[in-house]
Amino acid sequence: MRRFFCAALMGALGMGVSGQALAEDTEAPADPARYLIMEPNAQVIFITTGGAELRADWTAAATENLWSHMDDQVGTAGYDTVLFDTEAEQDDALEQLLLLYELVAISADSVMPHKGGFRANQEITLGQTASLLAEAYDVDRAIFVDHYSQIESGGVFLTQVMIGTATGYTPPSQNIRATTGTVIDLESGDILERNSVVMGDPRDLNESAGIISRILRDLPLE
Amino acid sequence: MIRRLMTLGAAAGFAISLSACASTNMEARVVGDRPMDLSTTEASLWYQTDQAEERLRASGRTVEDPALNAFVHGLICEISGPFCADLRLYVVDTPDFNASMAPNGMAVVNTGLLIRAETVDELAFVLGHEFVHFEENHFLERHAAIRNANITSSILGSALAAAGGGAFTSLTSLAAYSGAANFSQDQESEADSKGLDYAVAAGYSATAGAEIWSHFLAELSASDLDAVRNRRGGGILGTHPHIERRIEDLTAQAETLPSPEQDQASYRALIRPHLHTWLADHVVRQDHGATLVLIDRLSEQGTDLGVLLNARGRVLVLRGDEGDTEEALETFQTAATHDDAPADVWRSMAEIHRQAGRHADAAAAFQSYLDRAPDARDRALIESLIIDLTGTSS
Repeated sequence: MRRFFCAALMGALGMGVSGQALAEDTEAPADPARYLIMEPNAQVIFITTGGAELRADWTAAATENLWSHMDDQVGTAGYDTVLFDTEAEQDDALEQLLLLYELVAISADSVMPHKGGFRANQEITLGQTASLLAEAYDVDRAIFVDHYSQIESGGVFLTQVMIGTATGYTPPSQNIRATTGTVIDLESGDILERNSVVMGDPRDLNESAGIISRILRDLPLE
Repeated sequence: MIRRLMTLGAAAGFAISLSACASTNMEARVVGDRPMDLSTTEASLWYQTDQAEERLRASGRTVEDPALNAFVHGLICEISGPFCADLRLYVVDTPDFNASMAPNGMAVVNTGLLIRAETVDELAFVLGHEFVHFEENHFLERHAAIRNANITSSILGSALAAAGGGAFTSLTSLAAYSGAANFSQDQESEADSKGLDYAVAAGYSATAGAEIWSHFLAELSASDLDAVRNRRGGGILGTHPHIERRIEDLTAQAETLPSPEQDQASYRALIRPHLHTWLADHVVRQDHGATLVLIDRLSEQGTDLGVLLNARGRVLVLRGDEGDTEEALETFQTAATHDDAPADVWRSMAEIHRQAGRHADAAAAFQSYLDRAPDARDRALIESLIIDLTGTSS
């Protein structure tokens, strides 16, 4: 989750991007790479006065919307895409690779002052086991999408009002929305590009399309 | 005007927050149950535990012994009857004494439970206990109780602060969370009682419940660590009842139930292939008092003494109190007389001899180690030690 706070911070500092859909801005090269579109790792948390709860329906909607829009927009831009098969029985090595991606993604977003601060740790790799995905799907690259939202309930907002009334201090909002796209070279396992955007609600179809569009704007494909 | 609006907001917040309180009395589960409405809290908990299960499968922490897995899974099926198809059981390699059951049917049994159980009956009791948590939807009820405690705590805390009692808001939290903890303790007692009934109905001994808790209590009492010695449950914020109370309740319950003779030998045969590795996991935790109690209890059966005495010797070496080294050497020497003694016994003896300056004995013991473990990963190191000790190549 820390990486999403970093992404949110980056957005707050004005480093987020906005723009039009990739299809409108770019042209695919003559021999474009084939892309594997991984199932997004989305988490939509509902914050109520009773605590935080990962909402299954919202998370499922966010996952589905982000996945289909990524596939659609990369395909529309002229690239061949393949969707990761979540129903297929995965072998142990592939499961380990997907866990490794999560570690690499967290590490890539870690603030490392000795390396130059936030986003200074991009020179890390999934290693050559990434080729397992290339072989399984006959693709050159994979695109991962990670999304994290915290959405406060009306009850929380009014409780904050209540606390403000009683104490003079109003707790800050806990609303967070951040999405990150990552392109991995499946031959070397290296991170080729990584781009985060803040804001946008992927539960909503139009907003999900906008999120993917903004991510791809600064996520050059080849 | 602003003050009036804020008061109105506060009242609305109070009302909305209270309406978020959830019932802590769920219906018992029916076979094949799965929440279809994804907007519910139950669906959210299933979603999260489905994800946790996926991660567990890929974690490399599960024990891949088909016979062991089939046996434990068969046992939980015996106890859960028609719910068997709803359950998936994983044996997880961790020395903690625990088992758990998630709302989606993921059952986890730690190797730390398997090594501490002495009979199938004891394991059956624990699996019965966990099955009751599943059947009675305890996870969901506990989630609701904690949620209600959070709401109560924030509402009462705000009200108290508004009334000028801000310094006492932690008292409202204490009251709210102790209520949730009490609720959890009641669930554990219910799981003990019904779990024992299920195990007995499946043909297992009623005394097994109190026995496994008594064994564990003896271990906790012998721990070198204050935090472990005090980990006996109970208290106003404890999620589990006090262990002594659990033993009393289970003993009383067992008096009216059948207690057929228990078979230690067949259970030991089941875990024997893992005994050496699981004991090593305990030894390295360096809670010497607790580990010695465990090893001594397991040794009372009179089998597997090569493996068990090896572990005992290692504990003594690591503890290093006065006289421990000599006792460890004697322990290793006794272990070496048993057919099941692992090769490590000779390496450990060699180390003790080497440190005492008995070079010839050390070299001979190192050589015995290599003879018994020709593919040892530290072979090159041991060979060079033998050369140092004797001046000749082995």
